[in-house]
Amino acid sequence: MPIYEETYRSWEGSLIPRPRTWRVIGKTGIRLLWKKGMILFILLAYIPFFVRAVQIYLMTRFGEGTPLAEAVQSLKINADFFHGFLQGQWLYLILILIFAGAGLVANDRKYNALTIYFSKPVGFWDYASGKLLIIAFYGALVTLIPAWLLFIIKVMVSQDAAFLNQYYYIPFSILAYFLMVVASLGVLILALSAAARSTRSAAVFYFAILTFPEIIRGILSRIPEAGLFSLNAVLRQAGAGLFGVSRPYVFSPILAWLVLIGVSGLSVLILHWRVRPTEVIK
Amino acid sequence: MGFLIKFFIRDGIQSRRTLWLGILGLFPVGLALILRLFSSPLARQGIEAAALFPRIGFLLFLHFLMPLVAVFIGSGLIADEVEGRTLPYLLVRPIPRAVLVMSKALAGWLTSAVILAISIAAVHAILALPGGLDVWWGDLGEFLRILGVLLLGLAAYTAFFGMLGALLKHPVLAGLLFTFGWENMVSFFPGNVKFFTIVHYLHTLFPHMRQFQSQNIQTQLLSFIIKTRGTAPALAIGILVALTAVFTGGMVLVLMTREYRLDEV
Repeated sequence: MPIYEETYRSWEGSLIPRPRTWRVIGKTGIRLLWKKGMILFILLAYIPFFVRAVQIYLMTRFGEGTPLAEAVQSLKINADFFHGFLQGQWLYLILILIFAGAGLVANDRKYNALTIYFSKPVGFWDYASGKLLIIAFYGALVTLIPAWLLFIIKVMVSQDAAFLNQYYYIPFSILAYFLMVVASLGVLILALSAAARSTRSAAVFYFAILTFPEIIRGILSRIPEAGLFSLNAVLRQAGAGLFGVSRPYVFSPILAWLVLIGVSGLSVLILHWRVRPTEVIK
Repeated sequence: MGFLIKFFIRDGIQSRRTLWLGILGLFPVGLALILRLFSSPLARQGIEAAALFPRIGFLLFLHFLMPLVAVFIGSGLIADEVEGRTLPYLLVRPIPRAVLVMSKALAGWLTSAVILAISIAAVHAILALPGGLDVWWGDLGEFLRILGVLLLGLAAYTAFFGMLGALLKHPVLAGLLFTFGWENMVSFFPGNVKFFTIVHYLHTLFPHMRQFQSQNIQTQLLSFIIKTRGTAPALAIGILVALTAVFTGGMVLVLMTREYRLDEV
């Protein structure tokens, strides 16, 4: 082709309407956090899993039907056992969410990386979903995966299918519980990370928001409705419904779900308000 | 040293961290106001707002706000300078590192102590004053003792988390794990393991401690089997002061021996 005909040529490829940028953001974040030594926290969070696995083995092989197992409810392997295990992971989950999530947006804001993100074909929802994927991944490693593994262990060491027939719904309950936790606690840490410029402030405030109402609930233990202010209590109450176990508090589970939806909605609003491509520096 | 302390206090007051601390300090005040506003319905439930002060002091201040404030302030003493890449500018000044660390720690402790003191004084006033000046005056001794315990604890925790901040990359997490994981787990446990916590010595000094001890039958049974030695109040004070000195010394030692490479931040 003569050189004078070498002009601008239109691109002839096809445009992908929604490139999955959120997956790229998520995968990069997961990899970066893994390199920062996340494995240590995860190993720590797996100590209760090993204890519970031993409990399942011993109870299934030697304990079932014995007077001790009948007398001590907490030794039984039932829906309550799995609900209790997920509740027991609370502190580890919070610490891992802090480790994974406190700096996710705060650091991007601190180093003005949002402008770089949004100069690419990345929208707010891509950005938020990508960041949430990171939190969901690490949250799953300490709640969803070990709980599912415990269920599989129980099914495998059982000598018949009675347990599976009776509690076939538990893996779905675990999944629903995990999604509920990510949608509430995960979005909350992102919102706080967006609201604070420093990782430390986001971490301390997240911890305070989760712990303070729980202490108030302890102080005002005679008022059942005080539990509605505690995300821990609200998650327990809603989680009890998912697992079909007796409710730990007397307040309505519908109210518990409304609180969770409210927290998630408010967190998304804060995130939307703080995550902007450009920021006016005063 | 006086100039340095003043400088760090001024620097701290102007930072957003102090604003966040102030907001944290308002949490219990908000609770006290709510308790006071709803005192009549609470009284019908058998809850006397004024009588809740020791419980609030124990659960909200000793086991929540004070350690959290200490984590917030302490972990940032050295780590903030490392993250902000300002540590070399501090270290090249003709000031001994020990003086630098002690000034920073003292300034951090003073700032958080003032916020904590205002917060607990406001809570005490809100809960006790409606009962009359006599009630407030009558509880003053208990209030001062609780405040003293909190300030002692704040000094020990701030120094400890300061040392963690100089040593670790994630001091906040380590601090939260220590305080709300390890200490909460073993501080009420019978046996000698609780001597490896800071909060045990604060429990020794806290007024009316018996009412907060676990009524759990398993814990009582364990206490019966494993005989536990108590700690004398004077010894507890001595240990807390010694721990503060040791942790501050540790912070100085880390700063003197460790090479902070900014390209690794």
